[in-house]
Amino acid sequence: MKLEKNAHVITVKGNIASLSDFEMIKTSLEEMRTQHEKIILKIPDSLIINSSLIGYLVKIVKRDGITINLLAGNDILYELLDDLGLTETLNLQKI
Amino acid sequence: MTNKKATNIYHDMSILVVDDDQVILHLFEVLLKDVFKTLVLASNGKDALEQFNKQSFDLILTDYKMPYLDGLELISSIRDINKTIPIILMSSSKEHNVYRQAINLNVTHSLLKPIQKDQVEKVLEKVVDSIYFYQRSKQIENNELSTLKNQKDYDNQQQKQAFLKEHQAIRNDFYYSYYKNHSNGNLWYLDGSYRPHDILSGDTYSIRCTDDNKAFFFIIDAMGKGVSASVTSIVASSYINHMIDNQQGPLDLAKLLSDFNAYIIKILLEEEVLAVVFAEIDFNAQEICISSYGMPPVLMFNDKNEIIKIKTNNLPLSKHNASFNINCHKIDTIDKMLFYSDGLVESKLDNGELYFSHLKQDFANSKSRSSFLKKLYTKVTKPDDDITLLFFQKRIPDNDKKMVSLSCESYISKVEEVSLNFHTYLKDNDVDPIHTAKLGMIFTEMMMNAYEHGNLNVSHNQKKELIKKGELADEFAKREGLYGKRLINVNYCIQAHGEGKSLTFDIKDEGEGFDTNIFKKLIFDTSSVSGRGFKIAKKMVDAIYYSPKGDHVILHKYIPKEL
Repeated sequence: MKLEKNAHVITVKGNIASLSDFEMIKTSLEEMRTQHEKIILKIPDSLIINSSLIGYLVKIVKRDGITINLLAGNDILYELLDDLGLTETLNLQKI
Repeated sequence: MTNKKATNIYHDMSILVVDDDQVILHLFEVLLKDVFKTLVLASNGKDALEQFNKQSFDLILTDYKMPYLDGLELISSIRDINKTIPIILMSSSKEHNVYRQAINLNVTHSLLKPIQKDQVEKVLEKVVDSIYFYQRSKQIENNELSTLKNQKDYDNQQQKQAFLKEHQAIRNDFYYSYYKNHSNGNLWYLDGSYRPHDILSGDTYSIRCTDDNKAFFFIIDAMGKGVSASVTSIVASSYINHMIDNQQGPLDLAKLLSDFNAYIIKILLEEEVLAVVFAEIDFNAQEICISSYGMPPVLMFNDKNEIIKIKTNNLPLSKHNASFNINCHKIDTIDKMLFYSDGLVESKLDNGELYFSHLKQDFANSKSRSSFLKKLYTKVTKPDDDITLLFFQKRIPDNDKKMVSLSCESYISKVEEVSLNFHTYLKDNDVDPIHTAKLGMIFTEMMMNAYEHGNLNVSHNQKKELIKKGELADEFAKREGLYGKRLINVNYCIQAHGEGKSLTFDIKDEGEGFDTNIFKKLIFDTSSVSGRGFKIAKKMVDAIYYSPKGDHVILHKYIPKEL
């Protein structure tokens, strides 16, 4: 997995699989949200995201009022997140 | 000998000294006899080998040049028996080539002739040092191994207990039993499957029968894996099951969820989420009410062979979101339903593809939970997450005229007669000999259960005792006199199914019945021989369900076309 950061956009390339992948994304989001209230999270490749990341995203949206715009590149990831009822909360869109 | 450490060690050691020169042997005797615990002298290689085979030594000192068996030949023979015993080789300065061969025989020390006392002491000290360090490292290694073994035993015990505890949190009031809708005669088979990835799992489930005769059930999938997830899921399911156990009167689903949410958000960590699906089925009203928190969609299959997907109606439960919706759906046209944790859809096939892409098709093509699980685990050979699923299936009773119905009184001869009829029926319907033998055996086991445990009312423990005393046949004869008129009713039918055949049979007795949850204990207790008939049938048929009372059993078996 590889992270790219640009202004308020984080792009996660490759598969999100391990807890350390989650920690990397979380650290980047934590840094970014000190400067931006709206963050675009692009996930072009991964088929799944782990529940720890979902938990963290729900927390910063619901508790801290951060707006997340999650852009899924893979149709399966989009459908899985939509099935989990996260479309509205995470402003889920297909890339 | 001046070195104190070495002297102490010598006192516990035995040494074998070999030389054909009696003067040298005498010299060593004087030098070493009060130093070592045991000193044995040998005047040639052959004698030395005999001594070596007679008793154990800690150290050997041998000359090279000797009659019969030279030093190297002696060492070679000893090495065949003992690869590590320290050996000191004595030789003259002219015999340097000997050392190359000696090194190959793991001789690590040497003494040059002529022998000098201080040289002997130095070499012996070196050897003793190496022995000392060897013994010390061995001791440390043994201590470490013992500590590791104790730790491993402890861990294994902990894991075993934790696993049993986790299974205690899973409750299934419909364990191997069916639900019967008395208004239309339909049966529902409510099955669960639980496959944790680790000993401790973030998944749990329960299927409960409420006071108002509805089925209430849930799957919990706590965030992450292992111990932390397991604590959350066990705490959550224990709470809900406790609420159900203490429920009096009809279940108020909204109240239960509200109470549960208030309880669980106090326990969840700041970023922890809990995915849960709760549902209640009212079989009489043919309605299901679902409240799903971030769980994958419920799949339903209707009588028009269509899959209906019911998406989650709530966000995953977290400290920051505990509001909920409950939505109800009619199920009068639904034939089967599937509830599952995300481990099912996110499991990877060997080619890296997600099982997600195969789920709907496998569900649509599965006649039972076991056929679905077979399809799933053929594709997903190494699941990387917990997989929990509930497979519910409606069965409309067969009104087929081809159904064979028989009944017999509770006499062993009559039971055998019915079993024989079943066997003949299978043969007449072209069931292959292997399936005929297996199904015939299962049928007989089930008939015997209805006869012994059902109508004659002999418990598993009583049977065990009677067998021990050799009184079983007498007791059966006695009880036949009391209960022989009780009937065993049997139905069986074979129908064409796809390319093969589908066999259904059911057996009903007039006994007291039993709680099917005893099977849970029997499955975990692999040493128990009780419930043999059930264990065999469970392995060989696709589905086996008892009535809630335990006095009626239905079995289904798909018989593939003979190749």
